[in-house]
Amino acid sequence: MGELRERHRQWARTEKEKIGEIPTLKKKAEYIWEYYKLWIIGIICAVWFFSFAIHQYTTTLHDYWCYMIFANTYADAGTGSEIWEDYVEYAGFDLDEKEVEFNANSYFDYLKGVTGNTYFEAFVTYADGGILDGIVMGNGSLAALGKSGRLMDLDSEECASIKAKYGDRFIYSEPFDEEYSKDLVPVGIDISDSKLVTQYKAYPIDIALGIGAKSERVDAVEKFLDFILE
Amino acid sequence: MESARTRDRVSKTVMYIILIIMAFIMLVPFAWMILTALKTNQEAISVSPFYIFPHNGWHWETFGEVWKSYNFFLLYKNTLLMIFFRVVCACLTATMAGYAFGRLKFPGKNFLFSLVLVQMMIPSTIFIIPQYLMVSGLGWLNTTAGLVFPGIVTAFGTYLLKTGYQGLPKDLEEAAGIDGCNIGQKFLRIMMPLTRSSMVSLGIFTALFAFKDLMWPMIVCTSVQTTTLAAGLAKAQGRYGSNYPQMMAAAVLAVIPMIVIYVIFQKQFVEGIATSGGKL
Repeated sequence: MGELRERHRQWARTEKEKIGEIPTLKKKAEYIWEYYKLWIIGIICAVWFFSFAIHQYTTTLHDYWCYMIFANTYADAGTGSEIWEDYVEYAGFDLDEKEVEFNANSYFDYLKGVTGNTYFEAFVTYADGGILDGIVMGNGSLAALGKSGRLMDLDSEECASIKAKYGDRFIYSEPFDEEYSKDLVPVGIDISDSKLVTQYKAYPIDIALGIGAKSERVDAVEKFLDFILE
Repeated sequence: MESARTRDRVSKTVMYIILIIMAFIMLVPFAWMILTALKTNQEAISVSPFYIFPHNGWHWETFGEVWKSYNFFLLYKNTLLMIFFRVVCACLTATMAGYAFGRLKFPGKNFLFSLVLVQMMIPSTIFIIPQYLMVSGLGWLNTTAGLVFPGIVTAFGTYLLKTGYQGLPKDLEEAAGIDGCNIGQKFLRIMMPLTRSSMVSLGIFTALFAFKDLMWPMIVCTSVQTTTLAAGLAKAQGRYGSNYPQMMAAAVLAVIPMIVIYVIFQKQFVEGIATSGGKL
């Protein structure tokens, strides 16, 4: 280690002497560029990369108030849409603190098969990653999707408040695992008469809302239900 | 002698006919795409498969409409930025890792390299959830950095470059050592330039995979401002799925950058396939 340090010192001394002997500033710069351009480019790239990473980390919001997927809709229901704006206002979310994401670019139907469907794989990523809070799609498709085990059991403790309010609207699905339950499991809430259909015309058919199995923001979904069914 | 020449000419002619037919078969989908883009929607969906050319005029204006409605300038910019950074990062990390695995001796080398190989054997979709959570945690969603993230390191590239470095003669490194080069100088000035063909192969493969990548851009880029061509087209397909001329015009515009890149780097493409033994 000491030997290496001594070698570095020796190298620095030699380089300093060499650069000192070069007459003009332009020639000095040319010498440095010629011999150390890779190092210079590398250091600039590293500095740029780390400053970008730190800037992004410190200035971007890292969490959501609510993440919803509106599957198979051809209407404008994404982030920034009228539905999104009205919901944010209704729920009183502070968007400087966290984000509200409405993803309306999702097209899959579990009934028709989802093998190789990239939208479904994206849904799986959101659901398994705990990002997804709610998903809206056709009644039959949602009931079928419940079989994948990626929707929350609405009989669970987290959904007690939702069950109390909207228990009569529940949609049932076969359980993912027979060990979990032998009976049908509630996985969705029928919202066919909600504002999504009547006011925003986001769907022309019967629709239902399911909650992501790993969602930790069930209260935000409840607020969404209150908003569309008020 | 004459009959041998005739036989040779006949076999060549037959070969050319077969090749022309094969080339025609390969070009049909592309021609179909362009012709559909120039038809009206009615023509595109209602005609028989033998009704090839547009009957109600050639609708070139579809390309202009698509350019505006899909915001192609943004899609091109985002895609090219993603490809550029993925290629740079992949080449940089793979060449360093490849040199270490191919030429250096250090404890645990074989174990570490077997981890690289394991990564190649596992389907990439398995990594998507942890990668998404990392990108989300870093605040890189809807950014170019988020798009580039999974391509920063590449197991395939490391393997490719390792074999490239292993194929170089040991004498070169030894001669450089005798001339006073340290390990960094040997790598940068002697060995790395000699693996240029492997690096070009890696660059081509990375660029193609990045261009075709649909899943990752769709997951990390929910904003239209940051999405790529593949994801932008897929979203448009979902939304405007019934307008076939528009979809085909968008597909034609989407493949243009790759055709331009192929024309410019045709020689390197062929060399790349020959070097890596891969198929594009």
